[in-house]
Amino acid sequence: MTPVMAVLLYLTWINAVLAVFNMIPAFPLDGGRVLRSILWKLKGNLRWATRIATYAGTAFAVFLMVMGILSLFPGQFIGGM
Amino acid sequence: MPLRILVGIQNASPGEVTFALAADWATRFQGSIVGVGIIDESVGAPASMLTGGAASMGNIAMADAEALRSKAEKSVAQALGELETLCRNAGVEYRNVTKAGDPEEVIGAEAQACDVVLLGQAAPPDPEFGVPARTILESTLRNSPRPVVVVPRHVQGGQGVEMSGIRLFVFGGIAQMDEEPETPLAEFMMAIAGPIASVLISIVALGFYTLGADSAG
Repeated sequence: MTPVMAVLLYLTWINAVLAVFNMIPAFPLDGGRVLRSILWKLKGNLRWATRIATYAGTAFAVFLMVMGILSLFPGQFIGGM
Repeated sequence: MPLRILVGIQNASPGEVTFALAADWATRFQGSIVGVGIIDESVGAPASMLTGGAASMGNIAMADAEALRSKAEKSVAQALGELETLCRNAGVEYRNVTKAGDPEEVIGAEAQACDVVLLGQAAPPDPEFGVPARTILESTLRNSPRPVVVVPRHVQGGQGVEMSGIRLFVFGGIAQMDEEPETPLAEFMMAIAGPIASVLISIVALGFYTLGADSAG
C-alpha cells in the first residue's frame, strides 16, 4: 500500500470513528448537544434539557471509567478500552 | 439627495455594529460621516459624542474636575481619531467637529440636520465615569426630532452565535462561545455540523481510496 492510500484509509476510519463517538448522546459531546436541542425543542425548557443531557454525559463518563478499570484484567472482558 | 444619518455609539468600543451599519448606509446613500466630539459641560462631565451630518459616533466620558476635562478632551480626540480610521478603512467620507455643551442639546441640534438617528444600544455604564451612558439613549429616544433606530450590541445574522475563538486539535477542536445558542434549532445545527463534517471527510477519503485501489488493481 502506498503512503497516500494508507493516509486515505486512515482518514476514512478516523473520521468515521470520530463521527460515531461524537454522536454518542452524552453532553458535552456533539451528540449530547443534539440531544439537548431536541429535548429543549420538545419541552421548551433549556435548564431541564441541559440537566438530562448532562446526566447522560455523566453516565457515559462512568461507563468509560468502569470499562477502563475492567480492562486492567486482561482476557476477562473487552481489552484495549 | 443623500440620506443623512446621525449615529450615536455610547462607550465607543461596543459600537462596531452601529458603525458598520452607519458606514453601510453612508456608502449606499452617498452619505458622509461627521464626528462631533462633545465636551459635556452640564454635569461638568466631558463626554464625546461623535455625531454627524451623515453619521456620528459617541463615546460618553465624564469628569468633575478641571483636571479631568483635559482627560475628556483627550478621550474625545482619541475617539474621533478611531472614528476617522474606521471611516478611512470603510472608504467613507469623513470630517469632525468638537463642541462643548449638554450632550442632549448637542445631539438634538445635530439630529435636526439629519433624516434619521442611529443609536447603539447602551453599554453597561462604565464605573470609571459616573454618568450611566443609557440616559443619553433614553433622552434621545424621548426627545429626538427625527426617527430613531436602536442598533443591538450584537447583530446576529440568522442563527449567529458570537464566538471568541476556536481551539483546533489534530482531529476536531473546541469552539469558544461568548454566548449560548438562543434557539433549539441553532443548537442543533451547530452540534450536528461537526459529525456531518466528519462523515463527509470520511466518505470523500473512502472515495479516493476506492478510486486509487481500482486504478492500482
